[in-house]
Amino acid sequence: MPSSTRVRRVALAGVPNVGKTTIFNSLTGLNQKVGNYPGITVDKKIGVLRSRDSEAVEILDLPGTYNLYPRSEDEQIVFRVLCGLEPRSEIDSILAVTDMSNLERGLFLVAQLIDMGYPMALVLNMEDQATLGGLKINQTLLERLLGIPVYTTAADRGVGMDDVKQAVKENRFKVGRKGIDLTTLCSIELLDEVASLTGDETGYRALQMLKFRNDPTRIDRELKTKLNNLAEKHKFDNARVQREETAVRYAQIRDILSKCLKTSEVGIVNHTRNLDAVFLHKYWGFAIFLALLFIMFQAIFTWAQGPMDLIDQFFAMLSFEAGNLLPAGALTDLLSEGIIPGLGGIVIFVPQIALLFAFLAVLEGSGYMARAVFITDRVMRPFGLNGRSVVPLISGFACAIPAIMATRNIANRKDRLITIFVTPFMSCSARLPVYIVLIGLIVPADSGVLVDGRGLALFAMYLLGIAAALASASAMKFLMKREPSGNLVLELPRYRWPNLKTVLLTMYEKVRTFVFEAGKVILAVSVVLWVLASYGPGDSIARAEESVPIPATEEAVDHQAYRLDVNTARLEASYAGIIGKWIEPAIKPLGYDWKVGIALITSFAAREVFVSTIATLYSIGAEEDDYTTLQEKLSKERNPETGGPFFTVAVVWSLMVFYAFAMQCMSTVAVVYRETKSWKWPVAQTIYMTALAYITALIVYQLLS
Amino acid sequence: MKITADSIKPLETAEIIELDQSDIGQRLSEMGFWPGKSIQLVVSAPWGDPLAFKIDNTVIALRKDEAKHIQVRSSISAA
Repeated sequence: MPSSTRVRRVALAGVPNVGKTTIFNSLTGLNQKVGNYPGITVDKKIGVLRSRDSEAVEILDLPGTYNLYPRSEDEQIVFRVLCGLEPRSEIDSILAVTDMSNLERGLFLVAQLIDMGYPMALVLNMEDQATLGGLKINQTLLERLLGIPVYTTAADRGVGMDDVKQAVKENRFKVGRKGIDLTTLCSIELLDEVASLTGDETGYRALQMLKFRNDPTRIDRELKTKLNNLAEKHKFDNARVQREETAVRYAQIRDILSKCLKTSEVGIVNHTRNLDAVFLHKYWGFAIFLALLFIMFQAIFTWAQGPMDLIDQFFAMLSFEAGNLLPAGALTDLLSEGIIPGLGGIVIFVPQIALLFAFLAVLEGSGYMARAVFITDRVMRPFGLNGRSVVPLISGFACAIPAIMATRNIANRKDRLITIFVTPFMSCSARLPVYIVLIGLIVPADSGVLVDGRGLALFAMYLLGIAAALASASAMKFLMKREPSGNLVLELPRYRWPNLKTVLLTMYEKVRTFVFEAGKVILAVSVVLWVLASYGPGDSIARAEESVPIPATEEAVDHQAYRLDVNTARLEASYAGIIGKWIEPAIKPLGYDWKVGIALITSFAAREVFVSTIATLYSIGAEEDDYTTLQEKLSKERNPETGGPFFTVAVVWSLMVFYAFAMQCMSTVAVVYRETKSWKWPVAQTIYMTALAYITALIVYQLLS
Repeated sequence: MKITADSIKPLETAEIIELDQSDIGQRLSEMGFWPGKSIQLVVSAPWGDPLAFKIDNTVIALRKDEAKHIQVRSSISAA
């Protein structure tokens, strides 16, 4: 349905693993954006092909599907776009992409698309591989048999892309030859009746409407009922029609290919087979997989550290300068202490996200990722997870934010939700400072035989996280047993050199999505937390400040101590302090007092904030790299009731278990919201994790004290 | 006795006779698993599951349970 009011729009369609993304990137470059189809989690990728000599053309990258049948969200999206049911996604023509070495399977979808009635063109991609494999094609004959223009490309190397670009610019699309005789599938009266209800132009579109009649969205209830009545009247059976359509189409495709495809056996070295002998080897395969993960994990941990420190310093400086340059007042405070650090708290994740997705794009683009899924699938299955959950879970050791964003690869909804739900249990790097301070309190440096006792305790905390993740996954599997589990059915594509442009665009895209989508929630929550920690009811803060005795001398040491004491007093008198005291009865059974309560509240911003809050509460200038003063101070803290030390073994273990399980991270909440497109999941997850943390911390404290 | 694809031996080639009418069977047929075609078990993952089959020019991994939907007859040649 072309319209004169909007830009011409071309849909890019094809089965998975045919290099569709490379072609999309090659056509649109940086002129692309990722949006949402309303109500679902499938990304909507739109790019623009611009040129000086012609009008801009929009390219809509449809999700890769093997065919049109209402099975997955991806297939429903493709169906809705093709039937013009998706708002703001109306298309004028289709550019279909296939792998030239796998034409039989690729043409199945192409034949269905042709029957939908859109003007089309076909790209036979990976032509270099096909030629190497001894494949020759009569392109002219194929064009004539399908009725649409055909191009060959090796998009990885840019071969043939100029012709494709030109064709898109000049709108060289043609309506193809209808392939299927619909009377063999169902009665024409039925299709006519459907068409009169929906106004579809072709019989095949009417048939698709009928197949997708129970699609959860976009088809209004009245129409749904009418379509279902019609289907019942004519005894229309989705599965039977689909089976018959499959049979007819394959016969036609084989006929076409037998006429225009020539294969000759060429003795070529099969790289993929040789590489698979190593990567899928019973023992070596696992060793290589673990080694790759280890390198990736190390890189996220160590390479990201430098940029993260710089970002940290930059925002600290910005905040300082803003506080100095602007006139003093509430607005300046909000900017320099609330908003700027809040923005810093978003940008700080960028290096980790960029690095993780660089690695993932390389693994994906090279074809290795499918192998990793293949060898780990069996191990993950008992826990309600599958092979695709492994990489997100392991990435969770560095940070849950990029890890949860990486669950996009899990096609099945249930498997994906379970993975998202349990990933925050993996011990992320923000827990590390909390663990280090707390372990230092109860485990002396020189303890332990052969191994360092502190290292052992830390290792135990990591194992605890893994155990909680797997156990929770099993529980979720049980709770969600009515939802269908995913199947594997996974193509192991040929190994290729990853495309640099694709890797860079993936990094850019993921960072942008995080900053602009999850970032909004993070900024809002961090400002709220800042208000809670800096303001109190009435003049309570001012009175708290006055209550601190002014030092007798003007010496720097005294002044420093005075400033720290003021900070302590302010925090105590703030809303956060009030809430901390208010929740004290609730956390007392866990062994905590109101000071720990304040830290629990402020560290919802991020777990590591625990350390700086505790430092403020005990009037210590927080020196991030040196925890010794903090530990000394904490170990001197007395319990007013017992007179003994406050941070006993029981209290410390209880706190560590609490931090291992509790959802103490607003960024994770924000990213789960963004990835599940609903508040239901992040809220359920936060409640579950907090409850689990509370109960286990309670048990630990009661057992140990 | 019915032989299904999960019992093919490594590097053995078999011919597909039929796919059952389940959703998975249907999906596999759309992906090219079609009666008359030959499939070869290329490699199995550690613990013997999932299995990777070569069909035409692609390799597709299936869990054992999924491979059970494909009924096969063993061919003579083993490459």
